[in-house]
Amino acid sequence: MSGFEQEKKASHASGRPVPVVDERPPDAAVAVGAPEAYPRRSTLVGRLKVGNRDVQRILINIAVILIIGTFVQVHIGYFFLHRNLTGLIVNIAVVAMIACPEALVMVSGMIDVSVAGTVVLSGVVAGLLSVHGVSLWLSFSVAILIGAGVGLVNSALILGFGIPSMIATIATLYVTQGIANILTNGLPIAGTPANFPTVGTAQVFGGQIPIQVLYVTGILLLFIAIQRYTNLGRYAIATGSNRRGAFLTGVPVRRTVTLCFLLTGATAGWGGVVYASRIGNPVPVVDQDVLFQVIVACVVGGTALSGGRGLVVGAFTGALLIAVVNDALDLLGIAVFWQYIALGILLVLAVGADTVVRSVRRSGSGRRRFVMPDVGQTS
Amino acid sequence: MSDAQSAGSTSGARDPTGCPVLEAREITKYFGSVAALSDADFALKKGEVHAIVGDNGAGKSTLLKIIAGAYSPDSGELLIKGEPVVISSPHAAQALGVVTVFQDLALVDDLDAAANLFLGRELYFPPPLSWLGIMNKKAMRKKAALEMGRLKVNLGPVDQMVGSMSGGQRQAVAVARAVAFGSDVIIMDEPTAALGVRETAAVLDLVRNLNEAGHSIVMVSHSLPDVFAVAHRITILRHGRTVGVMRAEDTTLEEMLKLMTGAIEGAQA
Repeated sequence: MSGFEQEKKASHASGRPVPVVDERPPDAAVAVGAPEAYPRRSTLVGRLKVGNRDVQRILINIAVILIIGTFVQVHIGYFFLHRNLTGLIVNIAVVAMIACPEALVMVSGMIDVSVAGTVVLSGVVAGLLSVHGVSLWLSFSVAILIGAGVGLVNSALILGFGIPSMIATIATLYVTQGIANILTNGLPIAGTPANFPTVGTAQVFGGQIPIQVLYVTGILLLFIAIQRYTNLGRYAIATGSNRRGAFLTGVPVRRTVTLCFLLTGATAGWGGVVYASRIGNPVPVVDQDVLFQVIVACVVGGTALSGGRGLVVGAFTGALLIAVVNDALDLLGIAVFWQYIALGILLVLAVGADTVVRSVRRSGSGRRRFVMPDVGQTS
Repeated sequence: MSDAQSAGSTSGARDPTGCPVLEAREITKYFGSVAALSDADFALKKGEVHAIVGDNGAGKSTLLKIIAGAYSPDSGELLIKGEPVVISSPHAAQALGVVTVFQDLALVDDLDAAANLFLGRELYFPPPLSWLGIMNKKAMRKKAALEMGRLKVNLGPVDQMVGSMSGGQRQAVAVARAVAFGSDVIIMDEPTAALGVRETAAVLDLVRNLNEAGHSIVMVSHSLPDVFAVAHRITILRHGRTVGVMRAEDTTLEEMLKLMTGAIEGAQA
């Protein structure tokens, strides 16, 4: 037997080939070899501390909303009022609803910028159908289906032709806008039935709550549930985080991407219905605010453009923050032009702060990288 | 490691008998006009840790990918438990009880260990909830914790993000995923590449634990000391040919290097 062999035997006899120095703090040690004692969940504090960036971002957004609200309340004595708060949500309702599935799309590593076009097209279609005597519910359903169809076209372009999602959805943004204009000759639709605006403007609970608040709540809860409890939410993360790895592991990547775009399209279709109904006479013009605020809401809400990270509820707080900033500037009597500047600054702050925090944390946690783990330690 | 375990890894499974669980006969694979493998042979016996070594370009990762189902051979034959098979994809290989832990591990950094373990094979609540794709996350965390305990690996809580784990821990998650669903044969591609000394030791322990749990293991590695630390037998490839199959205890590092570089001709064990 060679010297090396003897050495090897010796190391086996002594238990393990490499001397082990346990560098971990004692509380990090877990009873190994006792499966029933294996920890299934981190502690609540641990979960927050280990930097769930998404959750932190949501808390920050809520804090900023409260701070702005308090500031305006103190300054002009008017913010935390039922009328202001509901009005604020009505203003952002379409954006907030679409931002929920858009967050899923972005988590899956894609982006859908076509939603503003879908809103216009489906709104116009709903208007046209109802003008021609089709029942309101049917025309609204068709509008939602058209939105879903746009979503399917988007995913077909991306998956079938390998076109980057940004480009594919810019294309469908133009095409849907074009179709809406062709259908209407570029003019607002006149003569919608008298009950056409009901869907977007009704008040419920004894006229206390605008119905849009219900829509937003419903869509928000639906997509929180989808993200949190269904395989789609998990597959979206896997697809956005490591598409090839997810595919090799058996994640139905194509179905995941298709479903995300389908849900976004359908929600945008519904958003178009609400939008058109609120205006009363659908206009074939893309709303600039919808165009960008959906993406801004997601990003401000902590959704990573690179995919893999982001929460639906985060995107919702992002949308809420946009609404609060706009509302505050309104209430403070600042000209509407400044709202655009404020939105730009908000976006830069959100993304900039995130980058700074991450780079600080990375350099700060360099220490952690060199602490050896205790995989397979059995003695 | 306990005495019983080290005894098991050095002698217990060291002399396995019977027909090979996995065999590759006269495998040839061309890339263009370059023969990555020409008539390479490989046989994995039940219960052994079998390393495939060779210099860069010797064809070891090509051979691994062929038995893993990622490549199909131009000629030659694959047999599982003596039966000829065609392995058309890594999934087909899994169905045959052969699972591969690739070097990049195919883990999702933004999901936790339990989610990675069950990725693509989630547990669901009973119908009708399962029709909506509603997962039973609690059951998955519970089973993941059991599995990690069985492998004797220490990852910390199974709801920790894989992205925040070290290389050795990630390897453990990938291995746990590979074995959690009842695979006989585990193929590991460079399991200790880019790992530190202590993590390497941990991964080698993991290999021994898996072997003791009854899994047959194919391990492709650059690192001869790691190979000697765990392997029962070693197949040496050079220029796409099998130049030797050695029992680890009958050979030396020096002999191995000579075989790999062609300084001496090989033998069959």
